[in-house]
Amino acid sequence: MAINWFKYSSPASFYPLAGRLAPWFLATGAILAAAGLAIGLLAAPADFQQGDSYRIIFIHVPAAWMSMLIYVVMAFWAGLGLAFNTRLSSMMAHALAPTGALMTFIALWTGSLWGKPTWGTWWVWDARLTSELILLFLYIGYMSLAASIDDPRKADRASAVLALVGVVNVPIIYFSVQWWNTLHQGSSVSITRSPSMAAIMLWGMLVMVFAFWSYCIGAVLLRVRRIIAERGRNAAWMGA
Amino acid sequence: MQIYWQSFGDFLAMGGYAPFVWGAYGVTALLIALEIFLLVRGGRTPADGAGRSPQPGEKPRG
Repeated sequence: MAINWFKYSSPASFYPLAGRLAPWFLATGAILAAAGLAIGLLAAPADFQQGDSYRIIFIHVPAAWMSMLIYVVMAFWAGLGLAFNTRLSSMMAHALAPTGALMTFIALWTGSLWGKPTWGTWWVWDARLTSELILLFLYIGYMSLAASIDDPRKADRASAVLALVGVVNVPIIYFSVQWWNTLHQGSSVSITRSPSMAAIMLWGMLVMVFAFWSYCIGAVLLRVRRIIAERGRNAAWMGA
Repeated sequence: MQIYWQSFGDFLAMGGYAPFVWGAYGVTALLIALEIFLLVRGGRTPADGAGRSPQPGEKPRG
């Protein structure tokens, strides 16, 4: 069966689709979060070195991964909108930014609360933490720039350039623990080698990663609907 | 699935790390709840079809 994907590249046809999908993603996210929290907070044993403070990992790692992934996806849509002048792409980029900023803040906040008991400090200017803080500023800068320009198409283009320039920061965050001698530990999970954590802890974390994924997709779909409605207030199909 | 904790108080105490663990989980839950609230606030938008403006000469609904 051939699906006409271009059909959904128009805001008018994507709007109802996003409305139908969002509740499913949010519900899946809630169910996965319940399962992940049951594994992480109830079933998993304490860490032999860090005691129970390590349980912050079940939200810290998913939020940190989402903060980087959302930025890359945001830059992708912003770039697509810049290159092809497609309205929905730019709206997707704008819809992703606040959720990405939220994930970045959660990663920083939970990391700080984890750093105090394990490193003895709330914050340190090491490469991983500093580049993640820059990511938060990039999100805030992107949103402020987009909001400060009245003409939506001009705002799309200007903010897209910022999003694309800022994407350089993402590999810096990701590889910072290898490139520099950071207080932040290296990754516990990688595709190329077996994970350096107990199976139940790993499962709890992976389930939480999928919960965060699902939640973020649901939230972004809800937000893109708001943006479509906001921008298309005078469009004929809205019946306004 | 076996529960690791001996008691509910044990669970709340988080092995002495309660402020850190619950501070992390609490703020995360609060912020996500806030985001959902902001996204669903106001509920239906004009594009849902309920917001057709009254036409000239028509009595406003509701």
